[in-house]
Amino acid sequence: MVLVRIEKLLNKYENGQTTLDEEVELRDYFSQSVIASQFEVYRPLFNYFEVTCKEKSTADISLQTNSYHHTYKWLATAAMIVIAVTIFTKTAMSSSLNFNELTEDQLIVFNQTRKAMDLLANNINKGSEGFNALTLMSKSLNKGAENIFLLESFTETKNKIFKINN
Amino acid sequence: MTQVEFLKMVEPFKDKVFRLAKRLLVSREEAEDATQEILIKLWNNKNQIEQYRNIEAFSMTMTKNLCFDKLKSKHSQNLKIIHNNYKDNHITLQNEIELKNSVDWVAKLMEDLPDQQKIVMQLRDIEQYEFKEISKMLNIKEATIRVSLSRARKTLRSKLIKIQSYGVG
Repeated sequence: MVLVRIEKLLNKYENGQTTLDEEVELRDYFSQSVIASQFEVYRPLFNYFEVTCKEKSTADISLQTNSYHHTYKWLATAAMIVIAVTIFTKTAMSSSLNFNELTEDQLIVFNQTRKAMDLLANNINKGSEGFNALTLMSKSLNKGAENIFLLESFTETKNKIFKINN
Repeated sequence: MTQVEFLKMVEPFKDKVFRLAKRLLVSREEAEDATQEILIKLWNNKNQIEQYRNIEAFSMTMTKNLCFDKLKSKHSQNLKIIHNNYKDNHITLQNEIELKNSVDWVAKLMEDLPDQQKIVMQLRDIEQYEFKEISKMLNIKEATIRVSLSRARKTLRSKLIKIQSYGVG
């Protein structure tokens, strides 16, 4: 009697015609330890549904992202104002100093500093020339690496051929 | 609405959102991320939320759409080996070796179903929603849902028969 009922329900189930109650009935049937052997094939399906519907998300929910945005916005605004004020006062102060108003001593110091800077710039240029050589070397190194790769693929093919021969 | 009230409101369907996301995105981490995203979206729109009659159905629709977007962008950047892509494969491979019983097989078989059938089966057979509710969530006709569901169920049954008679599908 039960078997006929289950058979009928399974048929309906496969055609998408069962109601939720009937599906619960099926699930209950398949949760028994002993069931008719002809229905055994459906057992994993219904058991899986039973197990998987209990799976839970374990991550903590945080709804804070929004307020973070606000703090960052405020921080950004504050930083902008500080920077603007600093630049403004700096330029206002420095504009009052004119080249012609400098004393002789100050001019000497200024010229010395400029010389020192020039020297430094020259050295930096030399250094960057050395860099060019280094780039060249790394290029050749890459070429070499490519060649090694070619060699590797060659050996691989060679090994394959040997294997076939063996 | 306070945070506590909000969390209380989403509690009953939070895991359903997670399970639907996991069904579509497969990896657990991505599903957790998607769930988080959905909840934040709901929280940000909490003022409008109260007007919706069925927040749960609304959330499920949002989840489906979000996951589809994610899948799409994943397909378009297929060449990138991101951590997630990598891990997915790894897990399925591992699973294949470790599948101890046929119950685990069902999860794997469901992965191979077309997205529409996956969703419908998830919502009906696992979350046990009425056809009417599913129809609202997915914005498709009940008859179409029944057809997809029937196809999914038949496919799974025939694949299970195969596995059980030959050992491995």
